[in-house]
Amino acid sequence: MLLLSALGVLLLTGMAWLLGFRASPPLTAARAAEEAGRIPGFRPAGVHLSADGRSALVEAEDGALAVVLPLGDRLVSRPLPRGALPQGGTLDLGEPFLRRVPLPIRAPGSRQ
Amino acid sequence: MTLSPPLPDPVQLAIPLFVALVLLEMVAVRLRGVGAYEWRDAGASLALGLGSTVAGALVAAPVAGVAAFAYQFRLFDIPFAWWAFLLAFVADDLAYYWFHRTAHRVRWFWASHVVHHSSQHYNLTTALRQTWTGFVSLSFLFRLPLFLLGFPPEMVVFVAGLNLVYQFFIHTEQVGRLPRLVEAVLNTPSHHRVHHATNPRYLDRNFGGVFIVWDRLFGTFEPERADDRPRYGIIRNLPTLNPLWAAVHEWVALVRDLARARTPGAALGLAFGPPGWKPDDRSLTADAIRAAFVREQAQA
Repeated sequence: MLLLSALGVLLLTGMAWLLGFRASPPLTAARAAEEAGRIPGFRPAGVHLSADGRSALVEAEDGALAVVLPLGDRLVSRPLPRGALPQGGTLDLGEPFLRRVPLPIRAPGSRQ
Repeated sequence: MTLSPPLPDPVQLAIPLFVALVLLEMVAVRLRGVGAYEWRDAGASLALGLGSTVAGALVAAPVAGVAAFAYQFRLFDIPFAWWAFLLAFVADDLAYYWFHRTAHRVRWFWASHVVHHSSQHYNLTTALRQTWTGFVSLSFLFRLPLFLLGFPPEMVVFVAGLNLVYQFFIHTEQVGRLPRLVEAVLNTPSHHRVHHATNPRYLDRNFGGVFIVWDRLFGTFEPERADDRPRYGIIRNLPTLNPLWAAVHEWVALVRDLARARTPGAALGLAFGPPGWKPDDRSLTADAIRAAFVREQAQA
């Protein structure tokens, strides 16, 4: 029974793949701003996209920052602590599965 | 008419239907352009469903033992009659409402239940994205009053299975609104989309399993609005599609937070307060998010 269920999982996952549900829409400024806007109290004012589309840094009206990353066909955002500007092109969020975030752009206001 | 044990397992019987409907929904999404699938997300949901079945089987004996123990102290001897099944179905759904509401309002229970909400998609595979740790959070305790009332454990397990099967069908974007009377009484795809949404106005709303009347009765009902499309997931969406992390991430976060707690009061708040509660001014609970939203709306 367990084996049959496991086969069912593989079959349905495979069907999702075959039907083309594997697209990852490009990370655009509009999508990044919308995603960051889901963070409670965060009002996006400006977006800094990385050249390779792997991340975006969103600046809020009050100067707060958030990072936005693609995940499948969706996005994930994290607010950044004040003053936690990226160093050396990466951001250390210290979170499982999100320890070091590539951020090949300069943060707004950074003096790198 | 009597229905006596052994009773069939409605979920096991429905599995072929689940598979067929997931396939049908995928095709419908492709053809209609309504709703969404992502193959890894769907795979994770299905894997979590499979794991949940295994976890359920592993703890079935102790849960049955607790049920049998409570049943010894029953108030009434409720027979295996059709009316008793109807009564059990409604009573079980009421117990489910309170379990479900608690699962969203108390972090200890949320640590298990969050798994079900951890996808940013809302489709039939999301229905199967179930917890592996329900036993750890003692969620089965919410059904104890049914056994104490006198509903036989076999009957409660049967109607709970029917409840679970019903809830599978409402995890879809393929169905808009149903006739007004249905929307008034039953939990529908529209009502449950609200429940899975992270829009501030939708947070912690529509906890009902089969009947939405519980939400209307206890003040937690919110209708779906055309001008506020549901955005699915959790406040802090997972950064990975890994099902193992989805299954345990909130328990890991809870243990980490407890290790850092400075006072017993803070530890209690972190474990049994609402999700998002912090012992300082960094709390981000559903109530706080909704209150900020209401303030913004009033100012606009």
